[in-house]
Amino acid sequence: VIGIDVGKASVEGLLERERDLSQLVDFVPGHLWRLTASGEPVFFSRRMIDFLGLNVTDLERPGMSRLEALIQAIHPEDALRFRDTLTRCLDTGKGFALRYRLRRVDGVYRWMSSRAEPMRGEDGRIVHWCGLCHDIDDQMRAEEALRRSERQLQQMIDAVPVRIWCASAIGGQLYFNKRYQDYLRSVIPNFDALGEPRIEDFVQELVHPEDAPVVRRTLGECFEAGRGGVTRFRWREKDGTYKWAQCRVEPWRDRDGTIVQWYGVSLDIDEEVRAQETLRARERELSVLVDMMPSHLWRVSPEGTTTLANRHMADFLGRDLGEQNELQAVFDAIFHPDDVDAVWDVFTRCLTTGEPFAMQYRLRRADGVYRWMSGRAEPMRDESGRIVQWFGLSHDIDDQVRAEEALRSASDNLARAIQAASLAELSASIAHEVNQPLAAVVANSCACHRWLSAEPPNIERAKITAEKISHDANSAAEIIRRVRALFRRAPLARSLEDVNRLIGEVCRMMADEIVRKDVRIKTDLELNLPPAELDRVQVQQVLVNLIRNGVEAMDAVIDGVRMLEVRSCSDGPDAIRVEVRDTGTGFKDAERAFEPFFTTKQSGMGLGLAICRSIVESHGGRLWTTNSATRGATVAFTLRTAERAR
Amino acid sequence: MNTDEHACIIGVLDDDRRVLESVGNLLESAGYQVRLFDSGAMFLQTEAMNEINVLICDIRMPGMGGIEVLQQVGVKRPGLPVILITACSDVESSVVPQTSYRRIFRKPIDPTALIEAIAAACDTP
Repeated sequence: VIGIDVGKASVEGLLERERDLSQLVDFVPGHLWRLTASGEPVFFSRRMIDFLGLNVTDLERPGMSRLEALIQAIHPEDALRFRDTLTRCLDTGKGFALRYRLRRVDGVYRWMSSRAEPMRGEDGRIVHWCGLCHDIDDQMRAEEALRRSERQLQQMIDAVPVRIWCASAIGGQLYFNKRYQDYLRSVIPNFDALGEPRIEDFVQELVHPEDAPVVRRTLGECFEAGRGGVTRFRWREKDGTYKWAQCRVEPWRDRDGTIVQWYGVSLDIDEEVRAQETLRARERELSVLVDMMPSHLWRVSPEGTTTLANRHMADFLGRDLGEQNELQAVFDAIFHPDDVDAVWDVFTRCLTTGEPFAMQYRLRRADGVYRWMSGRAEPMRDESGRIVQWFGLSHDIDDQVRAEEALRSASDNLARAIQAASLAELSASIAHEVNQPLAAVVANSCACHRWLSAEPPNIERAKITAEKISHDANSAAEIIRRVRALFRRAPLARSLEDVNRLIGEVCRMMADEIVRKDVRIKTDLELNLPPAELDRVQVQQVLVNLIRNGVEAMDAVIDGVRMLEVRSCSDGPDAIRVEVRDTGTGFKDAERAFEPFFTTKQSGMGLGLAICRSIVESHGGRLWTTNSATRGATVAFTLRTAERAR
Repeated sequence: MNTDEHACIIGVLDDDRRVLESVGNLLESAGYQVRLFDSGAMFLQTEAMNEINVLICDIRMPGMGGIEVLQQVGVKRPGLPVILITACSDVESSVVPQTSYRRIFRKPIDPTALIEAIAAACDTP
């Protein structure tokens, strides 16, 4: 009884334990399985049955072992490996470990990590195999994703068109991306045999000797200070040429701030550097060009601020316009006082309207000498048509102006005589010309008388002498005739002229003389007068004479206004009237003024007004004088306009 | 006319041949011998410089002017009487070198006054 009780108790105990174990087996978060020594599945845990949707008994298939039936549930790609591995384990008795994909009941394959160990009897023979298999699908997928991302990263690093290196520590082993390696292999013949080269080796080997010290210093500073840096250098390419590169180095730190890695990226900046160099060289060249150009180059903002004046201009003016760029101040300082208002008017109008600027004016050189310039400026506009800058060029035409004047006068001896001498001098020279034959006539007359009065009379010599007298007298008459013809020349030299321009030229020509006499000159010129056909030298001479007469007439004016006014206006439909008005003493006898050799002046022969009238009349005009009601005199003359003159 | 007058040789220097010849003619009609020159350089090159008793010289001449001629004459023939003639009214007498005898005539020359001046010059010791 006792024995039965004991037995009964132990049986109950065993049953209880078996239940416990069975529960344990079913609740283990994994698949438990058991195989026979030959590999036939004999037990699947509850979780495994649920996963596969079948129990070991369901593996009974006609003509197929249970193991083969199980392998049917393994992913076709893994099945072969599974079978081989397991078969080898069964043969050798070594533990089984494998990862494979197993089909779930819903047909989805999931990664499993499976291990199995043989269980041996007391005699050491394998009784059966116990296996544990658990689902690692999520982990596998994470790992796969990681691998993929690593691969992509690697591909990217190898694919980007930059050379990348990294090193775990200074002087430590270097890792190079694919491009870098390709480059190194192409330049260093035995690159792969180098073993573990250091950065210094590469600097030595590849970097241009001129740049190497900078590279070493920059890298050294970066490594020492533990900060990033950039350096530019040339390095050798496989064809032996050097190309510009820029290397940027950065340390990568862990959470503690310790430097874990150094990264370096080298960019090919050869084209940029060369482009920049070309640009810089071009800029230098342009700058030299601008400065060395034997003309004045300047730039003015649309508001009129001087933004550039080339060296030539700065040297000429003796000042840097950049320092004083207020337009009005600049104008007052650099332009001739007689030109500044006109230039100001035209230039400010151009700034407003955007019309190109073109003028001739006198600029003050550093030494105080004014020189004639021809100035031009044009606006530069942006795409929208707005003016961005004005560019100006002015070149020195002083010599040219003077040469032109010289040329003009040299072209005609007659004209030169008139141009070079004042009429007083001209009169003196005419007088000298007439005087010579007259002197001969006088001397010969006396000699002739003496030859005839001699005892006996020398008739022969008297005759010869009388002939000479006749000849010389005719010669004197011829000179007078030539002088008259001189001012009544056929209109060979006539051209269409702007009378206002002619007046302007004469006023400029005489500016110094007028200022010296402390006389103010004022012009009142009617705009848009038609051109007149005239001999410019002769009409210029008329103007010079009338202005000079007017200025001299004011010599006696001490307390009053010394003002000379030159006017031009239309005179009827086919003539232009020019008036020269002074504030001097006026004509005491207006008509006698035109008689040759009538003069009230100390110097001069009194030919001036007579010749002026001859000239004007030869041009088909009139010349007359009037005394002003208040004070001074006016000399006026007319010139026919081109239509009528033709 | 006395023989002394005829012994006098007058040099005339003027670039204008009409003046030169008419003055020469006048002096010959008064019984003088003349030596005519139309340039200062030519005059200074010849022997005439040493044989003339009086020099009549135009001031304004192209090339070598009258003043320059007088300076050289003053070196080679100090004391030679000189009569200057000019067409200009503005000759400053101070620019003319000092000579023992000197007169300035303006063109047209008064022939009688010139002959009197020559006679006076020839009488100068």
